[in-house]
Amino acid sequence: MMSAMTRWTHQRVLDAAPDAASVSSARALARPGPWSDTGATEHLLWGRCQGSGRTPYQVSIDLDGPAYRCSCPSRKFPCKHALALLLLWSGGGDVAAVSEPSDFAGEWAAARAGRVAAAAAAPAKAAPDPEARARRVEERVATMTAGLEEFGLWLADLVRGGTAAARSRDASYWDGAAARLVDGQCPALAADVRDAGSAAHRREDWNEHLLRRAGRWWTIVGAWGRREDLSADHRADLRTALGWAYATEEVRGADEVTDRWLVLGSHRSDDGRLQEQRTWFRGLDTGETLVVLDFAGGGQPLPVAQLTGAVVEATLARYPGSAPRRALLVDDPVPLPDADLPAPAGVGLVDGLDAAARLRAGAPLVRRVPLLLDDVRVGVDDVVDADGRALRLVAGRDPWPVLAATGGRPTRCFGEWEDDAFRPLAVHLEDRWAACE
Amino acid sequence: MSDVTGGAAGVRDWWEAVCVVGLVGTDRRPVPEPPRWAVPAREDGTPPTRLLDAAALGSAWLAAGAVPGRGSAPDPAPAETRPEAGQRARQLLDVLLVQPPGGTAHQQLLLRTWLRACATAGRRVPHDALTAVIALARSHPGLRPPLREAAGERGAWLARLDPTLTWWHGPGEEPASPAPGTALADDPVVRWAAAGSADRTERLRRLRAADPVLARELLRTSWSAEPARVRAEQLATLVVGLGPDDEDLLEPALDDRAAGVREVAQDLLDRLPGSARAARMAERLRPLLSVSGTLRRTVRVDLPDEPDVRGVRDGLGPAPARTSVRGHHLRRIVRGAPVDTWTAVTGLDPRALFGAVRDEELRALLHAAVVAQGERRPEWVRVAFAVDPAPALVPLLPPGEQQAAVERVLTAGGPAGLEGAVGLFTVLPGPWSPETSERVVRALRAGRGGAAALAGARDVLAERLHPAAGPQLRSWANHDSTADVHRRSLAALAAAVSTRHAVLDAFSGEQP
Repeated sequence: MMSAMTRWTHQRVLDAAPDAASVSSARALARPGPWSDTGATEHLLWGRCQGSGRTPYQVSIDLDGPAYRCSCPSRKFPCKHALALLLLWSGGGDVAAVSEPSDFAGEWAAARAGRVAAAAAAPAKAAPDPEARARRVEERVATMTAGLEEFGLWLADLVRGGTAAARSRDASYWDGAAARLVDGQCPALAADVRDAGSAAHRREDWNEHLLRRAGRWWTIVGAWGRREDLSADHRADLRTALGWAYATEEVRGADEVTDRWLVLGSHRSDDGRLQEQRTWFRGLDTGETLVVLDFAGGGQPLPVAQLTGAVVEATLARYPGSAPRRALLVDDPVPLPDADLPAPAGVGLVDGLDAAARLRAGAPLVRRVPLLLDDVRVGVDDVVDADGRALRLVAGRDPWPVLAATGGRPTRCFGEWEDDAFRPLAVHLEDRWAACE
Repeated sequence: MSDVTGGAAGVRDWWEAVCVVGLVGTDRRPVPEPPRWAVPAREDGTPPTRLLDAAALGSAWLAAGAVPGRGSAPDPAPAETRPEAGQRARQLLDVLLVQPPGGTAHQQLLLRTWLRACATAGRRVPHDALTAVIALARSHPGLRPPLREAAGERGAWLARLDPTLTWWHGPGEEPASPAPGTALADDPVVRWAAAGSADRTERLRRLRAADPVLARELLRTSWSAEPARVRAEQLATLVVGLGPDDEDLLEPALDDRAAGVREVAQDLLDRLPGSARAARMAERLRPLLSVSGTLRRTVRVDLPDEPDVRGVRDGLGPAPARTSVRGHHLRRIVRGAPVDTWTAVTGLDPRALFGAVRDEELRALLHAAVVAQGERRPEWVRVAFAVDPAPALVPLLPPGEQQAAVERVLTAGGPAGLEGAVGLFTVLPGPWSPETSERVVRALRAGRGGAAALAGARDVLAERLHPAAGPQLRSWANHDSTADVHRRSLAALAAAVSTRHAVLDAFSGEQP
């Protein structure tokens, strides 16, 4: 066990730093001047650092974890203040060893210790009490049912007053409905409602768009009421649309498939709260296309994106639901750099859209369909085939990198058919795939 | 555009009716009946639930029933005529774009170097790097000319498509009428006639460097009709590539009704020792010169008398406030008269003449006349540089002598003051040899304020220093007496110099 007397070495502090820039910023702060109320126990190190603002930043470090907390807004982790405090302390700086942590550090450490203990105790609960579990599920279903009933009434009010009236309301109208859905444990639907409020102001076709969304929400509300009658796949689609997550332990080991996978493309988005990364894999033997989702929040980095066009050997575990199915990587993919495999053939734009239509007709809650299109030209606003038939491209993307890569020539193009627009993610140039984003 | 036609007739109409009711609300309009092929309306429905049912049906129908619409993509780019930069050069470009050595301070210079070397080697920017380089050129206009040269067909094609890249084609050249691409629109005379005054001045500046004759002929077509300020600005563009052929524009400009224009004409004619005005100035200077003494010869110059009308026309007008009128006239005469007048009258060669002009102020006047007229008089320039190593004289020296001349000054302890040193480096054409580079760094370091002068000369040094000066720069950076801020800029400079050479090296094997 770590003791206050066995301080960290300088090197150990450096190893904890997220990057070199943080270290050099921290060095400037690693002097007694800006610090007050510093202290250390066997497990905890804390202090207040006077920055440019009026209130000093409160820094606490759990030396056992190690875990770091600081009241500064930095997204670096640990931030320069935590590093500076560690540097000061590891260098034998004047950090008083006391037995009781200061208030702010103690509260945090206690809360953290509780969580750590709960996590540590979790394996003991791995053999779950089936009754307790059933009770929890029942409670959640009841909460969701209540939340969706209320949402149904809200939807009816929306169309009674009309979309034009709804559009003239401020953001709290949408945020309020979303917040009630969060309370109703339907977070994915909540996020969609919040987004619809801003789409209503952003889009030119906002009325039709809003009615389409309302129609989809109404479908979800209705499907929830008849969930017992749905097929297993549709029930899983519904669960995903509502945001009832599957525990990864449930998915792992349940429906695994090992193959050589071509990384078709990936897309990152950041709504300010949460970053999301979607990576599409095509199984070279099975021909199945799966999508792996990664999320990161609170300034944590997303996992490094898979290289578009790479071929990897990996085992993917599929989530329940309709195609295209979500999956998770069971272990780290092994790159097969010398895999001399022909690029999978695509389809024409019309055939691709037909296939997408069949998928959606069978699974109406599926919003995103992967399309591998042959001989299409990606333009500024449209993707076009040789006969001039076209799909609109999603709004708000930068069209120039793809145009620079293709020069407007026909290529094989992989992308997502999302609602009613296409998002190109990769184009095939002569002998390689190039990412579009 | 994607659109939906649907199998059943009238589905579109039905959906549009649903949208209208959705817009104004079910309190105001009745909900349309579902189409015959669809699920019938629920018995227990209220108007809002019936509209939501219709929206659910419509959204499923739109999602699953989408068919391609009509749309367009730009005509494909023309085939490239040049190969893309080699692999090493590409890697360096990535580094310059993502993590420029020496930080952002040197990024532009290094990118300019890369782009110029690329164009010179007959290569082009790789397609996948184009948008990143273009993005930087949006905020840094200095990158635009070399980018245009190195962007290849793909870059030019992108610039035609992207309405925010109007600068690619230069000011005033993009929204041309008649339609761009026609022979008429490409005719510079037509474009000139269609351009505005400010635009013309900018065109002249660029054109003068490339094609001085065409620039002069374009200027001649419209100049006299421009307002006075524009006439002065446009006439001043002749300073680039000035030659005897420009005299027939300048001589009449001495009679211009605007004083500003007359002054520009006088200043430019000072630089043409073969002109008629120079001959008139020589006539005025000759009677003023005299030599006295036999062993220690001394050249004297008398002050001129009151000028006649022709003298006033040549620039012998009122003096600036608080200066002597006759002194002012003498300065104008010395600057405008060919320096050869002095040797012709005194019989002394330039070197002996400079020695015999003992009055400091007069020597400075003569020196200034050499700076103005020195283009075709190397013997005068050499002597004047030995008397006072003014940076402006360096480019007038024969190219083969410039480096040695500056180095003599540097070796002799450098010019007085650091500013002089920086001025000299600035005009010493690059690239510098290892020896020159080391001397330059030594002179800079010895100068007072040493590292502080780096800021002003940063680009020149990064562009011309040989990497052999790297160790010197680093030892300067690491020296105890060097301030932190200078440490960083010295280290950045050393990194930029070595990267610049890596770039040139990467392209050196890729000559066309």
